[in-house]
Amino acid sequence: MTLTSVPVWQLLVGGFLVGYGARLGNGCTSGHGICGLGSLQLPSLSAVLTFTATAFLTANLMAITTKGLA
Amino acid sequence: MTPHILTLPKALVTLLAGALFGFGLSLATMVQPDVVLSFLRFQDWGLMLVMGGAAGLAMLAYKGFPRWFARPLLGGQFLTQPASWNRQTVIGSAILVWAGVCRACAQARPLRLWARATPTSCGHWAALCWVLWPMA
Repeated sequence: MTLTSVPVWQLLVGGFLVGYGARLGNGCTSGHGICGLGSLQLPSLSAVLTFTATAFLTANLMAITTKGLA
Repeated sequence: MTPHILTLPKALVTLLAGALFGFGLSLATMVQPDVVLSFLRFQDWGLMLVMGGAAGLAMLAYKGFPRWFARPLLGGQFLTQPASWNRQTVIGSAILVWAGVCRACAQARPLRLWARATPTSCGHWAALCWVLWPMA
């Protein structure tokens, strides 16, 4: 059963980075995005903007790169 | 005065909240890396609703409950936890999504109990290691 086209190694690397980043950044996507924004914390807004911008950038770069390789 | 004492009702409510959170995320397809990726590539804005809806509802709860109730239903008292901000938060936030593909993995952590041994669950387990590591 396949649920995703994303390779397992990328999920693993991503998972480790998510965990590391969440500890370093004092919160994960849900922590900053839902609890932080929900309680109107400015640092959380910065965190959300940072990781959303990074995610947009990375996802689009990855798409371009893989398209270029294929 | 000790809000962090874990009683059985608190533990049950926590478990229920986690299950509901995980159920909501999977219902909203936020556990599927491909859906998350299509959002990040500006092809599908549905996940904005998920995040916005969740944050809005959380804000209602955060602002409303301390007004409606004198104290939490399960004892203790309402506390605020101001977020601290430093350079690490920025770097951490950037690393958090460096892989781009793994927003879903972070979101799906509460689902770990139900996650089957499919490729998508590998990321969850990897993220889980970092959660468990400081406890060890």
